[in-house]
Amino acid sequence: MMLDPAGALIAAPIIGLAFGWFLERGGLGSARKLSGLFYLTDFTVFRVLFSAVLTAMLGAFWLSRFGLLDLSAVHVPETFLVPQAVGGAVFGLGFLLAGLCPGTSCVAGAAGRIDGFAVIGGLLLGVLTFNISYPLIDGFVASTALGELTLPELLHMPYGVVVLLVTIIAIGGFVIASRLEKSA
Amino acid sequence: MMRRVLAAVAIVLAGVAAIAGSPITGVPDVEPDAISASDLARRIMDGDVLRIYDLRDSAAYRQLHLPGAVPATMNDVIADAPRSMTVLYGDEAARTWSALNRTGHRNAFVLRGGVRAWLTEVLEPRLAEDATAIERAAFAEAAAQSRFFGGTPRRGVPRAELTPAESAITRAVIRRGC
Repeated sequence: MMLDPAGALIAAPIIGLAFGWFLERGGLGSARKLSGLFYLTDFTVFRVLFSAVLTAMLGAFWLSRFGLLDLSAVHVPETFLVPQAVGGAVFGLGFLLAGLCPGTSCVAGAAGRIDGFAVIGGLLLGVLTFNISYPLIDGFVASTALGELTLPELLHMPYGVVVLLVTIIAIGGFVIASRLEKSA
Repeated sequence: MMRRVLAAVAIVLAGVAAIAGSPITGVPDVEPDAISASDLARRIMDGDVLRIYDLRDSAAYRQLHLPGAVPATMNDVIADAPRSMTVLYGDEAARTWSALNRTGHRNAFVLRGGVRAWLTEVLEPRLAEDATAIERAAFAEAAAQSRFFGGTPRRGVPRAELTPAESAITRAVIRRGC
């Protein structure tokens, strides 16, 4: 099914509102809860995000297996190894300092938390700085391009086996997270 | 309790997935980069350095092929290891693109729509009899491309016939066979 532009404009805010609602109900509008991940005291972020990964992965696999979803039509973003690793580190540092990431800062702001608005301001400033400095860093941003990598391709393993491995890793992670929380 | 049930469901679904086979049989793991027929035509006209591979059978190649295209199999293309911009078309194009992509060739493209697109977009572009000003402006460039490659731009076509029927395409192929 392909949405026309008008349908997409209607669907986007509905999906966005639902996403924000679930983040807030999952407790991810709270900076204390989010920063707990970095101190190994609260693994809510890990659980919510990996539950989403598992649901999406299993859903995509089985919908595709039954011919209801064309996986070849799903966009796979390109991998740029070093710039994305640096970007991830900068993102992690900002996440730790602010206690919120871009999505959860909007949720926190919508729930009336002042720190949410401060983080939204910071992220907009970061976007502006990135764009202004782009002519200076464009060579770096496009370096170490590895193409549209997927795990099955990278590991030379069948798609279904990778699905099983990721599921085992995620559920193992959930068990370890619960034990760490209890001992914290 | 609910968490344990959900974890068990996930493990069962993933366990069966491991033996259920690939969900995308016959389709490459990664969506190939594609180039439109008119963009390719523009690059040929500009004299860009290109390697174009026709991955169809030899009879189809003899009947019609793109200018400068060489007949090849997937193995021929991989053995060639082209370094310049590479364009592929034919049934094996997507698989060949994936194979090239895995070898690190990042400048390969599949011709979107294949030979049919080359015929309808480049050799025989059509302009509707009730075309808008924007459509007419776009057609001017398409017509120039068509003439460059020895095609015949067609004006005044009823809107319902803008996409030619398969029989018209077959006729066009036969007419141009040489």
